Amino acid sequence: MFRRYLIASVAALTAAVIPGSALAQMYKGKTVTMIINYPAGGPTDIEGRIIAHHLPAHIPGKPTVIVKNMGGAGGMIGSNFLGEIAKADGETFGFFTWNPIAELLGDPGMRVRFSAFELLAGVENPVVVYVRKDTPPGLNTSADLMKTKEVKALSLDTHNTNTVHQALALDVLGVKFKAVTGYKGLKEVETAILQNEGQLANSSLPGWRASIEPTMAKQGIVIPLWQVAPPGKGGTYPRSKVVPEIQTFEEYYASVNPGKKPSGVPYQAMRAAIDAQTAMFRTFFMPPKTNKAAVVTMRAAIESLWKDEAFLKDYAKAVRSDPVLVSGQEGEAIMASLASVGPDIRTFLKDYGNDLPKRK
Amino acid sequence: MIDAAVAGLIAAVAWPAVGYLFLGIALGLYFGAVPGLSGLTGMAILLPFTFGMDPVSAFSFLLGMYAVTTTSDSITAILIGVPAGAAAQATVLDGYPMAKRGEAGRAFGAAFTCSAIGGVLGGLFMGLSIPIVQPLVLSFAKPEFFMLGLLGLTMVGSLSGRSVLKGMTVAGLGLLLSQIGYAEQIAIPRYWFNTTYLLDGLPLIPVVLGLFSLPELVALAVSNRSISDVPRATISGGGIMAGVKDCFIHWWLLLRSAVIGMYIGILPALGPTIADWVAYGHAVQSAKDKSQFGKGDVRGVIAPETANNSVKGGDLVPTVAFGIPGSAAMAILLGAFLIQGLTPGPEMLTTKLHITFSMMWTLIFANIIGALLLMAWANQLQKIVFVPANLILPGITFFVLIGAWTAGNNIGDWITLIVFGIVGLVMKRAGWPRAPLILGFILGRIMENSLHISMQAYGMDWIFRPICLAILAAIVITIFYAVRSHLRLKRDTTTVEVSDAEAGEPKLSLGLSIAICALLVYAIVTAFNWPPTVRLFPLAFSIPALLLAVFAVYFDWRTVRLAPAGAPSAEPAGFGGFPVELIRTFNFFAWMVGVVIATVLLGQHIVMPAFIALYLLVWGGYGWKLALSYAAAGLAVLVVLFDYMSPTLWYPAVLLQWWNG
Repeated sequence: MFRRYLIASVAALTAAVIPGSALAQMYKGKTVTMIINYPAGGPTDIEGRIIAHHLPAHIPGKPTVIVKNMGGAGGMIGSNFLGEIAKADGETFGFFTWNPIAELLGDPGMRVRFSAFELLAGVENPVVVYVRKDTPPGLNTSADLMKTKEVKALSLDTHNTNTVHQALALDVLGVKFKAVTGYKGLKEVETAILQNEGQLANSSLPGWRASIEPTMAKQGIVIPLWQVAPPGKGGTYPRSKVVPEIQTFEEYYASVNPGKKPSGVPYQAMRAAIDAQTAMFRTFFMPPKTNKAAVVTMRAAIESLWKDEAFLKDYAKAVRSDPVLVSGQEGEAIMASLASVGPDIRTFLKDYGNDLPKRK
Repeated sequence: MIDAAVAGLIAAVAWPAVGYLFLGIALGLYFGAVPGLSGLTGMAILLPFTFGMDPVSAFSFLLGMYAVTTTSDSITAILIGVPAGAAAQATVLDGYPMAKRGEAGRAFGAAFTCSAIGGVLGGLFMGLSIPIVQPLVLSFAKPEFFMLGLLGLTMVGSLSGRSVLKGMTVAGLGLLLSQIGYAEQIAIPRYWFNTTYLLDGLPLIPVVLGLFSLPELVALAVSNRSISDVPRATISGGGIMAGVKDCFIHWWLLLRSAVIGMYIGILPALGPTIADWVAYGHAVQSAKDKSQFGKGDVRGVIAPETANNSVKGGDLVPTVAFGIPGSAAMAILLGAFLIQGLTPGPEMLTTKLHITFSMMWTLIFANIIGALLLMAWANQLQKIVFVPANLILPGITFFVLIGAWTAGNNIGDWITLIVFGIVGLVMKRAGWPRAPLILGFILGRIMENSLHISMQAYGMDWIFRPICLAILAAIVITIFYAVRSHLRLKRDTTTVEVSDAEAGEPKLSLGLSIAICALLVYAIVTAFNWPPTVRLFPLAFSIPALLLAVFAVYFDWRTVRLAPAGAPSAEPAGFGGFPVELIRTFNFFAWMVGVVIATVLLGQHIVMPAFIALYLLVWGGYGWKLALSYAAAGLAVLVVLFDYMSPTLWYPAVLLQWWNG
């Protein structure tokens, strides 16, 4: 909390003290490098390139912004580069899809914690869970999932948020499922669903809107089950405004268990695993200890970008939904919320991920 | 459908699409020819420029570029033995030996012609098959991928020549190298030695450049001859038209290779990297006379060059029809669909069919135009092989270093390059085949991931899927014919051995087989500390590979023991005395290590031009004027091609950072 106020104060002070022309000098004629921690062509990359295309006009001095993909190790090669090697001179920043579970549980490959970076902003994104309609005995409505004998649930590696929240949600509902993990990306999962290698999976909203909905949902191959919405006020989970037509997990639970609300350690663990992710699916980071003037300038530039009609139009055209910005300060609060997750939930999540492949 | 094809043709040749097509072709020839860049890089760089274009112009621009990168990437593979991109790896095996015997023009003629024909066939295949291939694409799930990987491994026999035992051992080593980094199942890193760089596994390009290109550079540096072993004046025939003619003489191989490329293309996530090896392996497997493969057989150029262009038409099929990227570059093209507001899938086969057909025409036109342009330059290009080695070597080394660097912008890529350069040199001198190592390395991860998911999703039932059984039958037949052909080869003492596996130095070979044994023992012992799912795959091949390596030790030991005392070791002809050669080889690698250390301190912009100048002055014995102008040209290449045209992240020099505070 103190850190939040400190940054906010420094931001206000810097904006007041440093004149616009000085900020312009900082970036004039410079090349700013945007590190993307996933390979070219993926959803993170597509969004990142649209941002890189429009961002220069919003940074004082209009620097050139170049994109560098540093994919691999679940995004950790790029984040380690930003944390360890990139200079903290304000000329490098990361546009990442981060992994809150890695932050929560630690990871042998994570050399710099996400919380150590200077957080500039984030992009909110709900997650959509979907299922094939021909899963025996056949699904006409999402509630029919409860009638299935066994569903194969496809996902990324076992300790990824994508896997853990999906498996926990199915456990909370009491759905019998087999976790099939190890897919390298959400596109590969989508392909496997199309091939009927498995029946249930989840995707980020851009993946749902731009690919799964038009190629599989509209063809009658899959139906959406629920959205895992970002947390709202007072511990509620209202439907995300960018996908209002799909019920939330909590609504789904109530519809199949009338009068009840999801609760217990598995549900708390599921929320601990996914809340920070949906609240801030993509993140803008600068290296630790980047000078404050650069952090403030870039935060302001990103906020200004989100008011740029041309950017919003290009973004909405590619992602098929409006981007919801999370400001730097809001992002700091989301990051801080991870620290408040208790040791019991952390232990539960660690064991759960380890045990998932062994389950029959 | 014909209406849509005509509408697509009209759209493709209309302005401004046709202008973007030509611009794309020009950029594609550049991205393909420069080591370190590739169609994938080009696609990522050019994508943002399509934001304001109409769909047909955008795809003409991107596909025009992408179509020809695998035509121009054969230039460096043939001329200097450096594959400019992953798709030209197999071309090096026979293309470079052709250049060495003064037939670079013929190799160019064959490579460009079959690239064009392969690309055109791929384009036609794409346009005509999209509506009917759905069952084929959707029936190839993880179990079928695993079986295809196994089928690919059976090519080790063809790529190993007479030393099949060593070829299989080396393939095991390649599989082991593919296991470095995070396991496919649980986030447990394997063989990573607490080095973040290794968490994501070894990058392919530095490994390939190290294994195949550095040993050739060492040979050039040590000998200071031109690439061509024969003087220019003695070259008769072997011109470009001879290469064109070769394509028509071997039309049946060309056609089969095109089909292999298209077929691999339509399988999700398999791209040109695999197509060229599979086509090369097929060319060797199916040839009656295998004696010249690895030594400059034009069929070894025709097969991979046809397949790596035809694969692109195949790549587009699942991309356009289902939104399933056929390769990494196609994943970026999917981004272009989104930016254009298009959705791959039924829409592209109905209301937007004319756009789909415009892509087909773009592929066809780009392949023809790209090949014709390169043909026009081929005569000039081939002169490089007659230039003295010490004059072109700094330039080649420069591009090898850049090629390795752009794999991941990490100093680890250069260390990988040098380590595998040493490994490649030792393997070459010891007479061990190198191609099977790459095959194992490429297939390892695909096979493990596919097996792991197959076991989870289907249990053991996956083996009985009809296509798996069909591939299993193909594997059995392939092994049967390979064994039969190998036994015949053994009996036929007049036949010259196949592949790059030459008769090596027995003591070096013995040392290498002992080292591989030690490495495999370490791998097996380490693997036992991991959970069962993580250790299953490494153990599954490491244990048989260890057995093979033990046999290799025994046979090498027997060869060393039976060799008459004082007999000279078999050495490739043309090098100087062994101690002199060894010292110069050591010196060359010392230069490479020096480049790495100096880069950490001073960064590439200072070190790489300085390397060029110092090499010319100290090693080559040239004057200051030439050295400085050459170095200036190197700096210009860094700045213009790699800072501005394809922005590259360089190493943040320690001393410069300290100096700048």
